[in-house]
Amino acid sequence: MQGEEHTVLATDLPQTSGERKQPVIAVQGVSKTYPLGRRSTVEAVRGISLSVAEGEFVMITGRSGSGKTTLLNLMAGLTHPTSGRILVDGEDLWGLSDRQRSAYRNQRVGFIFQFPSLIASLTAIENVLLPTMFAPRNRRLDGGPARQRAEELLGVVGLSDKLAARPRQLSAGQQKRAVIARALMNEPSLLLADEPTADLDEQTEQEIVAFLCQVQQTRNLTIVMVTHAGELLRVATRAMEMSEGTLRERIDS
Amino acid sequence: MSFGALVLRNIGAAGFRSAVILACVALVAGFALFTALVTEGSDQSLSKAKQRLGADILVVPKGSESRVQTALLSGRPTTAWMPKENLGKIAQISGVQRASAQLFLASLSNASCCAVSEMFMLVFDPATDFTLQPWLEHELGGPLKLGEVVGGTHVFVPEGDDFIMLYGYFLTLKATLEATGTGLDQTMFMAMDTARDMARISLSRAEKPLEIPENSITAVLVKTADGERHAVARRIQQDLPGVSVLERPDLFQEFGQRINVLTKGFFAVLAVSWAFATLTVGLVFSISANERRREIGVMRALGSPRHFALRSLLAEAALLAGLGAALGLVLTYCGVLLFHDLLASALDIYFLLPSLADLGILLGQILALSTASVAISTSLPAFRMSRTESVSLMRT
Repeated sequence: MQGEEHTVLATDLPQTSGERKQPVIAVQGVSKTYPLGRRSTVEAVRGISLSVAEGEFVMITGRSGSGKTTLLNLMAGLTHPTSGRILVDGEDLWGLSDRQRSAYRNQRVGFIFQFPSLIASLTAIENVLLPTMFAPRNRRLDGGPARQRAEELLGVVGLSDKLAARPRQLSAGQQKRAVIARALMNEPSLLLADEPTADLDEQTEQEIVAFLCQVQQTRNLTIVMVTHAGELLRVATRAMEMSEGTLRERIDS
Repeated sequence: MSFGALVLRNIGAAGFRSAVILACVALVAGFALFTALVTEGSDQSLSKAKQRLGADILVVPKGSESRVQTALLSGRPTTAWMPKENLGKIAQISGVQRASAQLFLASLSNASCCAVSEMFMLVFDPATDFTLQPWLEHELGGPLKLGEVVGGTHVFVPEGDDFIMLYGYFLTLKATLEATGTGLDQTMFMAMDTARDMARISLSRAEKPLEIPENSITAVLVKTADGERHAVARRIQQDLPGVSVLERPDLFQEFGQRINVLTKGFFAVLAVSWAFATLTVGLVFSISANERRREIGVMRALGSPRHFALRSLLAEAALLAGLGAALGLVLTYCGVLLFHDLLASALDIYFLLPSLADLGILLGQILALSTASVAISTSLPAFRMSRTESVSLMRT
């Protein structure tokens, strides 16, 4: 991923090619407009199309306000697109019922937020266990096995001694790692990470990125990660850049 | 992690909010119970007192009606006299089925038998009585003998004694009547011959003798033919100008009016405080829900369906309301139980406490109503939250 970068519009690219695997998620001509005051609006995402195949590590860079977070929210089904479609297994995400969309977020997607997102009243392990609570009954991991998995995940992210710690007792880096453990709890196939290394020191940033790479390779996880940090592009299998609501693919020479 | 555990965690995490809601609900539920106990209990007392009196019409000396009713209700002794011949005249009036005379007497101060300093003694004539006599026949198998009495629930034989001594006269307590919640509970009932014997003995043994004026009575209890009550009352009033005639529905009217005023006042305060508490709880929950927007948004992102926020907030509200109401109800009932007499005296009203079954129903109703009110006041902010898009919730 190093060397001279060229940019082309993502919409100009073929979304599936012969070499590419089945897309985990496909964004088709999606736009998102937010009201800005009473009369004006702002178009955060403009007609973006993007197809992400299984096992890809897609890194999206861009300046603040370029629409990166909105794109991730759209892919997670957290906000309704103004136009266009988001296809998961060939099905329109917004053609699903609220329950089905919730199940998609719970079972298929892991989300790492930019902001501190641990629930303050719960301990680290309870936060990691939280997604199991929303799982459909037939797929829910209950009691001992769930706790064992949560402990394992917290151990993997280096928090095995912080199981009972409340979020306020954890550093920013530890909180972020707990969030990653939570995102992986239900074994998602797609991990959406919104600036997972923001506000962290360089060493913690390296640790987290290395961990995500490891997870992506060992579990064949698909990752779409949004970041400010251009230097992280080296770990991505595909790099893209967002600018004023549009997405361009960065192609190495 | 279970839904219940999460709800409990949220309640514990917002300690101040939870305490405010608990206190609000406890206060209002407690006041609701107090209102219900006093108003329903006083109504019951009144109806039991009327039932105990057992007459369609009560005839008393003119000018004494208020004192006589107060004596019957409060147990504070009074004396009032009218000629005994009135009994004969009343018995002759058309429509009168039964007529019986009574004497109202008072014990000397600080009688050791009773919960009160001066005890009210109601004397009946076994030959004509139709109110107490049937009960005595049924319960004791015959009339009271000389020296025997029946008492209200607050009349007792002093510990270590076998008799109650009044005016130097030994009385045997043969039976205790069911509570009415009125002064009749501290009233002693005795036959005419016992009263006269006590008056005779008191001349030699008491510090101050018991005086029963010759050929005088205090009241006449009248039973009328069906549908004749009002007409008979009118006839008695016409024939005997020196008496006051009180019909059964009008008995204890002053007390009834006081209950009405108190009831209206209590219910007005209850309605205002209920509305205020509902609004306060709604507002507190609205603020709390707003503070937790991001948290709810995060949960939505983790896969909670829309209705989860609604369910979670409503469960918190219902649990807090249930706990608060239960706390208020238990504390209020204990308080009323402990300070019943003090409250009755402060409010100048008599009220019976309900039976366990009635109390259970009442507590259940207030508990359900409190929980429903809080759930309704919370449903608006909770519903609004559940309809908001996850991204908007997280953008706080």
